[in-house]
Parts: sequence; C-alpha cells; structure tokens
Amino acid sequence: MTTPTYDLLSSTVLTSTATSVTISSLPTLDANGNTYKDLILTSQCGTTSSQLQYLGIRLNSDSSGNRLQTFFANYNNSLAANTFGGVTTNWDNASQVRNDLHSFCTFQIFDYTSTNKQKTILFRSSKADYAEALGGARVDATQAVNSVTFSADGFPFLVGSTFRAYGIAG
Amino acid sequence: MLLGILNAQAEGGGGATYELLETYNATGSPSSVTFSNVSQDYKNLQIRISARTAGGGVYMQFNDDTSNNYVQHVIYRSSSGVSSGANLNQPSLSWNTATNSDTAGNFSAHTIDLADYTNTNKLTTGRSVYTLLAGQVFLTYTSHLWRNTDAITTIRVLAEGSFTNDTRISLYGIRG
Repeated sequence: MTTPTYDLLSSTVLTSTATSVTISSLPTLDANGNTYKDLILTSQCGTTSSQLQYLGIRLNSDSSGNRLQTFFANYNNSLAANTFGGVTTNWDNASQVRNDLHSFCTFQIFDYTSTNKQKTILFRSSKADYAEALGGARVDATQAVNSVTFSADGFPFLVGSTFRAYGIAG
Repeated sequence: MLLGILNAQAEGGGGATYELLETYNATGSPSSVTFSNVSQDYKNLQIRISARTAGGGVYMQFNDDTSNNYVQHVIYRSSSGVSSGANLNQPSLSWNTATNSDTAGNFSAHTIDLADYTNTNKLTTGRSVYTLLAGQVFLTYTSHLWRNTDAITTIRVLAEGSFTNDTRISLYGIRG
C-alpha cells in the first residue's frame, strides 16, 4: 500500500516585517500515523537592510557553533567553494538578502525526527542576479528537530517573504 | 495538502502526486536491500537514503543487471576543492557513505531520481545529489545512465560491507 506524502506542514507569508520567522511544533507523524523522515524547507525572502545580509536557519533554537558546512557556487560568474565548521546559523553568499534582492533557498533535513542521528542537510541557494550555491551541512545534535527559525543577521524580513515546510514520510 | 516534486532539491513546484512506496530501516547489518515488483503506476521514482556502512560505499543495480551497463558523471566538492569525473561502464551506480569508523550519528544523505522508469523506448537516466560530512567531506552531483530500455521492476541497493543499523532507504513514486 502506498502512502501519499510530501505534506505541507507550514506556510508563512509575511504581512508585516519580522526579524525572525519560527516554524514550531513540527510534527513527527502524518495524518495516517506514518513517521515523517525528511523535512523540506523553502524560503523566498528579502530584508529591510540596504546591505547584503546572510540568511540563516537555526534548529531547535540551538545557538551553539555545532555546524559543519561545505558548498560550491557560482558567485558573480566565478567558481567558489568552501568548507568551514563552528557555524551557528548563517549560510552561503548566495543566500544573502537585502531590500532589493531576494534569495530562494531550499533545505532538506534528513531524518529530522530521529534521536540518534546528527542532522544532515542538503541545501541550495539561488540569487538570480548574482549567485547560485549548492551545499551540504551537518549539525552535531541528535535531538529531533521540532522547530526551525529563519533570520537574517537581525534585520527584518520584508513583507511578502515566504517560508514553508514540508514533511516526507518514510 | 499534498505536493509532489520531481526535483531532488524540492524547488517549490507542485502538481504531481508524491507517494511513499516502501521504506527500509536497517537492522542486523544487512549487506543489501531489494525493492522488488516496483509499481509501474508512476512516471518517476525518487530514492532517499540516510546511510552509514562498514566500508563507506553504497551501490545500486536495476533488474538484477550486474554487467557493465552503468555510467555516472559527477561534479563534487571535497577537501581538495571542486572536481569532476566519470565512472564509465561500471557494474553498478555508486556513492560514498559514512562509515562505522566515523563519529556515532554521522550519516550521509542522498536523493536519487530516476526519470521515466517504466518507458521501454528510452535508456534509463537519472541524477543524484548527496553529501557526506564525516571523516571525509563530499558534496556530489551526479547524472547517471543505465544502458537498458527495460522498465525498472527491481532495485537492489548494496552496501560496501554491510549497512549499519538505522540506515534508511525509502522509495517514492511520482505520478505524471
């Protein structure tokens, strides 16, 4: 028997500016009692800042520098790549946003309901007039993810910015 | 609300229905997992894997074909920079995984897409992405080809050595 999945869990479209957006109380089970395995996050957002600001996500309000991240990218028509640890929330340059420049980002968090796996993430950041980045990350925490917070270096997200979460049963 | 998305990067589109066909959670250190009698009711398949193996690798074969009919072209980020390469005329598709010598809880993450797997007029093509951030660091994008026009009815996923407990392999169908 097959199980329809890829369920929309949360959709936020800002009607006023907000310095952060938190998707909380992420479910572990779908409507039929199947366990969600993977969490897909999408964002399409800008900020009130006139300067580029990094988009970041934080899992379970965890502010420790427990993330290892790698990516390769086209930045302004040049190949770039980096791997770095100790990261708290921020992602790559292609995720950066300002008041006239939105980014479109997706994050795939594998086995987000597991309590014995560190969280492995695939991400993609697209900033149409400047950059495209493909990346992976590992968050050294085995707790199930029950909330995700988007932020941009403390600058408010613009009205109309969107943040969505989907759950995939497995 | 249900949304189906072919793209492994889940780029926010929708329309097709995305359905879980079968999932396997490893216990007892198995060396392979087989999805048999794969439903022919879909256009595309996606396989999502969270993997850790004894030897650090995972392989995939279709319809019990073990001959050198598999091709991959890759672009990848590793500790030495960004590189490209090809695996031509291989007996399987292959990817790296976390190994038992890595820190507990390290698992690699994979999405593998197979396009038009029921079509008997096309060689079977697909693509994949995976990341491994453990003893080794990899971020790899791959195109792949199975030099066969048969509809895929069986998918075998093999470990290098054996699968570690909690390795998870899920098969999804996407209607078109």
